[in-house]
Amino acid sequence: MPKVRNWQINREMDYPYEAAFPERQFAFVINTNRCIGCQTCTMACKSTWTFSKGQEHMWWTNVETKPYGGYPAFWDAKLLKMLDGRNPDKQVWEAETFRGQTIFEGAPPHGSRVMGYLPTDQDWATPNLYEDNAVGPKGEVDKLHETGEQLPVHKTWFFYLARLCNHCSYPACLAACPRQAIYKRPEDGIVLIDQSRCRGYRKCVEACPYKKSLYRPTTRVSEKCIACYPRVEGKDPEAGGQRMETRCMAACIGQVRMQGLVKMTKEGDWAEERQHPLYYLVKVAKVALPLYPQFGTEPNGYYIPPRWVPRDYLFQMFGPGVEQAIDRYTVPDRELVAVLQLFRRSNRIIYRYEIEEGPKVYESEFHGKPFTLYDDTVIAFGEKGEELFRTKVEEPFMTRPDKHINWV
Amino acid sequence: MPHGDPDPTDPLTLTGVEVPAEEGDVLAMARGFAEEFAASGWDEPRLLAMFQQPFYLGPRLAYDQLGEARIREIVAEAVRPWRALREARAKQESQRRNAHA
Ligand code: SF4
Ligand code: SF4
Repeated sequence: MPKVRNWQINREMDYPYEAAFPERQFAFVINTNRCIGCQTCTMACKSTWTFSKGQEHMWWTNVETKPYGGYPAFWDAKLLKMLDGRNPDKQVWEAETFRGQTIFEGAPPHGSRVMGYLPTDQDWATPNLYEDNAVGPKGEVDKLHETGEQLPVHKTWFFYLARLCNHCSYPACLAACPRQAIYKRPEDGIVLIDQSRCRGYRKCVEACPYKKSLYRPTTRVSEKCIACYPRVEGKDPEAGGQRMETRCMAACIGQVRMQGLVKMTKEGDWAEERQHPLYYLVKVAKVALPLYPQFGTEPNGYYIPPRWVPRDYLFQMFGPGVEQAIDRYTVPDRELVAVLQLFRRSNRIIYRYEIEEGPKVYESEFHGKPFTLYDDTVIAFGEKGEELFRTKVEEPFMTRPDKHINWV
Repeated sequence: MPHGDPDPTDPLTLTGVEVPAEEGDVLAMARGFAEEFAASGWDEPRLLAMFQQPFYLGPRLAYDQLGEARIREIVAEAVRPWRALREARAKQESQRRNAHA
């Protein structure tokens, strides 16, 4: 099997195909600290792409309450258990290097190219049910209490994990497809299923560790997130030729999502673009981390981990960068305060930012560390260097008047 | 999804079971909520109201477990830098006006 370099696990690994990298890569950052679980992203996607017959159970993007839930049920716990079973007590990190087996290396010697499993219909059926409420009616399947206001609630920490296809650099879905119906676009790294080649064998559904390839019974082929590619290409009627972020990103009420296109080197790492907001968050500040990097697909979705969650749980989910990411995020430096304000001021894709320095307004300790706040302005630029917007480090606060409170 | 009584010892079945709470977990969560929303421009009364609101499960959980006095402290600490920023701006603005007057 060819060897490829996976920078997220800091080593070479087996992958069924030779490495090939796009010019730019679709990537995103989600700040879990601010996600309120409103599901606006989920519905933005649903109402755009999966509202038809046979797609009822499909949520290309979803938000689940961790540690309680998952869609499909227990997707991550199941796979972690399988990996551990394949290589007991060896799923460990040595500093930045993952020493355990990835889903490609842990594949059975004969048969599937990727270690995975096919969720049952039941697993897909009831996303979010019971996740925020501790218990349903005793002994009844898929039922909620009739008088919901009496439901018991979880008594300890939780957080919302928003998920979509990671348009991985080493996609497991693509690796597993016997028809070679799945491809990664050379211009932006978006991973697509060719609907005319797919025969519905569901090998991709089985192989994707994030369970973001889904089977549609009415057409008998598989479907997945298409990264709203017409928007990303700037072909949306509203776009006027400018590249736009996906529906789930643009709709985010909590302003926690940012998506862009990062430049790749020939070796498959991110090329240095110091003033690109995603490059800054992932490679410079290192506050955004990949989801389950140990799976080995090199996912291109990154998360600012929730700062209140026990570290061993987060370490398993986001890898060894967790402690540093949370430290830096909790007491942010001047540049990070400014870059965090770039989230959701516009639905256009940001390629570069600049900070216009303002006066120092506060200097004290925060969480036992020195913290200084400056009244800076951050400016976002588009693909052709055009200014998209500028904003102060403090968010403008708007209150909708009473008479429009439920206005849509 | 549990088909019968959920088994609290099954690590795959966290839905349908109550997880025991540990002191401190909700404190970190409460500080997180307060600081995130303070950075989003919320002032003290609005933040306190969020913690008191029974329909916001997480903040209300912290309010019930930590008590109002502790929540007030957390909120006051969270808004301090942002209030300083607003005050500095207001001062600048009035200086500018005076210069023009
Ligand atoms: S998240 Fe899953 S479906 Fe998406 S590219 Fe990666 S392996 Fe394929
Ligand atoms: S729209 Fe934003 S805040 Fe709401 S659930 Fe989705 S990611 Fe979270």
